[in-house]
Amino acid sequence: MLLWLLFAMLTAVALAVLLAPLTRAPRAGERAAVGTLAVYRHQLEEIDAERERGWVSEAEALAARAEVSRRLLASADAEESATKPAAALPRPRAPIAAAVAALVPLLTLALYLIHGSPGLPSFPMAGRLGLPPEQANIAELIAKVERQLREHPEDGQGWDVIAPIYFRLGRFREAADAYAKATRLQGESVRRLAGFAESEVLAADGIVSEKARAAFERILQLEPSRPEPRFWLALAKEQDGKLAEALADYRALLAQAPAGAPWREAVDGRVAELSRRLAAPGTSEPPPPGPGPSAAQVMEAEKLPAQERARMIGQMVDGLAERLKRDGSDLAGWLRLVNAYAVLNRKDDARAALAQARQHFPTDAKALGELAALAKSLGLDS
Amino acid sequence: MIVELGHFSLVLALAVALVQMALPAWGARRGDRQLMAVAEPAALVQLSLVLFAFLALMHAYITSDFSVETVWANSHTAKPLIYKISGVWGNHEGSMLLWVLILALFGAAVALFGTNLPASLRATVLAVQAGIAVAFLLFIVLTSNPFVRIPPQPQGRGLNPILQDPALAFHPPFLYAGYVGLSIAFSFAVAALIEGRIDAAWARWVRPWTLAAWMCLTLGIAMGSWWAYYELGWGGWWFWDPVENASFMPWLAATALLHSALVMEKREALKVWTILLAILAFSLSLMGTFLVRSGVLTSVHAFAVDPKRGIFILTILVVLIGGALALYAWRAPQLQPGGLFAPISREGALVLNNVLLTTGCATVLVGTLYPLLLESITGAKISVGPPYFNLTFGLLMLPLLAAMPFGPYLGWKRGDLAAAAQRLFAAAIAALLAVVTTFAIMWRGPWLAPFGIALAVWIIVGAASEWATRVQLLTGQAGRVWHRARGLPRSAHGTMLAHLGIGLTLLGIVATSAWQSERVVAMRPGESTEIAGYVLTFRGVAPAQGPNYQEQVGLFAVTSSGSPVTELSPSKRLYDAPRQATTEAAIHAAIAGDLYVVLGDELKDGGWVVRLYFNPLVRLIWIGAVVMALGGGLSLSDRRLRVGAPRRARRAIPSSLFTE
Repeated sequence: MLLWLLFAMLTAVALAVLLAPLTRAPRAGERAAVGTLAVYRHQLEEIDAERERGWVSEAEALAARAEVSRRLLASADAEESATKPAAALPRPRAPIAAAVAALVPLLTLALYLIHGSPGLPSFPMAGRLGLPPEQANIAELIAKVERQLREHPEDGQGWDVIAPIYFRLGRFREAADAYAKATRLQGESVRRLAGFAESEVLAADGIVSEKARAAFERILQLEPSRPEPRFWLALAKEQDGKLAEALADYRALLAQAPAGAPWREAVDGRVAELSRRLAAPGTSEPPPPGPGPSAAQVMEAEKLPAQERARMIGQMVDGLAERLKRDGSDLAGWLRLVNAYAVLNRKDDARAALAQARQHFPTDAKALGELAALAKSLGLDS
Repeated sequence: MIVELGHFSLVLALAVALVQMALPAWGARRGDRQLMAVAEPAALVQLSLVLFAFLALMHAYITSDFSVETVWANSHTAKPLIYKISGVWGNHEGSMLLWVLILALFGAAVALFGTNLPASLRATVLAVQAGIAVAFLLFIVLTSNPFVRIPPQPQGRGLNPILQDPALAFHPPFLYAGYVGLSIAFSFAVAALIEGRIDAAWARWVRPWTLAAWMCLTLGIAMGSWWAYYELGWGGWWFWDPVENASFMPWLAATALLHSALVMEKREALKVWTILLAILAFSLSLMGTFLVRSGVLTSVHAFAVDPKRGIFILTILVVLIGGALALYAWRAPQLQPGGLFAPISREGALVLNNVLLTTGCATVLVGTLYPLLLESITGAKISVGPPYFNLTFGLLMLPLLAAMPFGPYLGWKRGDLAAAAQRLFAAAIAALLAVVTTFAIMWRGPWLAPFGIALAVWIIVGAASEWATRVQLLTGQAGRVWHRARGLPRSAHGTMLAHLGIGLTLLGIVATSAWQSERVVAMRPGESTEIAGYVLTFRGVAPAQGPNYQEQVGLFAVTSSGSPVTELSPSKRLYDAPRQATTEAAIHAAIAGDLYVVLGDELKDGGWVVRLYFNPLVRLIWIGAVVMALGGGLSLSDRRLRVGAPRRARRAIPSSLFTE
């Protein structure tokens, strides 16, 4: 209500100033060409000054004076003929003023309402950070921790706390960074190394980077029995094109796997895929980075007990979906979400997400192409 | 709430601009003073409203209000305050708002300071100015609205790190003031065509606005070049990048306009041409905006890659430029021709200046647009690079620069070339000495460079000696020199400084292009390397933490012939949001030139790639531009009105007289 009152006042003041000349009588005695004549008179004075300083000869000054005088006369003539008895014709001003006073607010309102959000309050950072913790949502708490970390970047515990939160929110780049800092400040541990390496891989959309590989190798040194670093290192070989070596590593991993290991299935999938590609070299493209996140998510979850695992995957996917609902412009995010739903066998959700993603990129041919390719590879379109 | 008030205020400004466009123009047609009088309060109200909107947006940036889409997309809570403020125009929407704010500022200035203008001319000028404002306000409100709200976000995406630099606070406002200032010349030209009357007084009124725009444009371009020089990390200062050309073309046109308006003011000649130049100069500014904003070009400057906006701007372009040119074609033939002059005269020299500047501008235009046209027609991608521009534009500028010192020595209407040449004797000697000395010092070449140096010296000494003659520096009594210098009109000092500035810039360009040295080396801590007489010892690299970035800072100790000179610390930064790396060059500025060090990538053996440059006299390029702008400022402060003193032809008038 206050806002509308201010709008009205702003409009009223603007209109009052704008229309003031229409309510006043025109100033009399002002002539149209006063300015022009003044310019030429100045020019004449200036010629005299130059003559006095000796910059121009008498003959030059005379010629210049004659030229300017001609302009002066011509301008005065033009003024005589152009002068109209302006004040002699009283014209009705009220209709014009009324029309302006009516049209300006209407037009302003119409254009304002296209993009305006009069109901939405401001949302400055200062107000948000002052809220008590129970009212602030998780994102604001993160912002708070981030601010503290910015002031005390050597606070290793802070990085340790925020790293897994970033990971769960799908902010893998920041998670990797936080894990790296925690490792540097708090010392190396398998948990931090694994967190760093997996965040690194997920941030790169499933590509095992050099840094991630070094971290996985370090984990294996610390704890040779862990299966997941071996999986990732095999995947890295696969991505490097060393298919035969990767296949051998996968098989070795399977051979040592306990009978009921839940991650067998994922490794089996890679073995089948690689055997097929090795059998028919050259006919098949290297796998798109798409499978990376899905395999990665599966692997990440394999470490946990089944119940915990389901909860965590659900959380991750929901976090992603929530983020995309707020900001739909992240194509990579949509691709990941559709992929994740498909992997979790939530085909309906996957189709819904696909449709939503398409709505966000109605004109972007490249994005639509990528979405279509993903849908085809997951068998969602049929 | 402040954001919504700002939004409303902006839309209200649009409605007010519509009124300012309609009523005064109508009043001017009917000779109705009351309607014409609406123009001034309207211009002031429009400025207040746009300013309020701009401040509201700035408030949203400073308080990190992430419920505003542009703030969320371009800001971050961890960003230092100065970048929160300058980030307001570090994006498409905000920069358009700044554009309109400057437009409103110039309009209000005409309303306040234009009291010596005839009422109907002033009303028409302000109406045309409002028309431009309407076009751009509509564009902002409908397609690039900076006040669009979104559900509140916890954190913003941050500003492109390359733009997180103090230069962002100055480069765009100056450049826009230059672009937009030319709109006043445009409005005056269109108003003169509508009124059907144009005379020497018109040129007098347009001149200060053109001069102010030209100054801002000069400073804006120089700042952009300086920014690119230290930020992009490879020591170049001009790349003939289409976006740079887009700002350079209006500058060339504005320079030509300044000179032709001078002829018009003193002699009432070149009227039709001056009007056309005024229209073209602003058209080139608009085209610059279009090229940068439409996403036709991709570069640092292309904030908004959105074809819808491009089409909107294209429409504005067609309506404004096409309309003005159509009006010109219709009304220009009815204008009366002005004074006559002989080919060798001040006017003749200024015509030469105009011909060469506009031709140069045309070659830049062709070089900028040809690749775009070719790509859109045949799909072939070609790149027109520095060789093309150096060969065409560079060659065209040679005669212009060589002839420049003659201009101020020539008399109006009919000049004496021999006498002018005689007075330039000192400059010629200095140029000759420059060739000989340069050859003696830099005998290894390149062999054209000494002549470039000589040209620069010719211009500098030529400009200075003209001024010295005027104040009788060498011939008159010493005590009277100061008095005479005081008595000299400020515009004469201005001319001298502007021409001298060109010479300084040229000196910098020639020296740094001819004798830049560059080395790329791999260095391990403790190792030393040598460039241009400096010895650099690499001490090592240390990590550091900035407000919103982490960096790796290299440390170099610099010595010259055994004695320590300075320590340089170039760095590589990685910004948090958006996650992007930048290189920060370290520069040691000495009189002879800049030592420029860039830290490259780390090597596997613990060494680092280090790039070293020595750019001789490179600073003169920007110092020259500042001197030019100072000259413009001096001229601007000269309230004196100039009048050429035509010399009566003693013989019969020669057959080869120029008219228009």
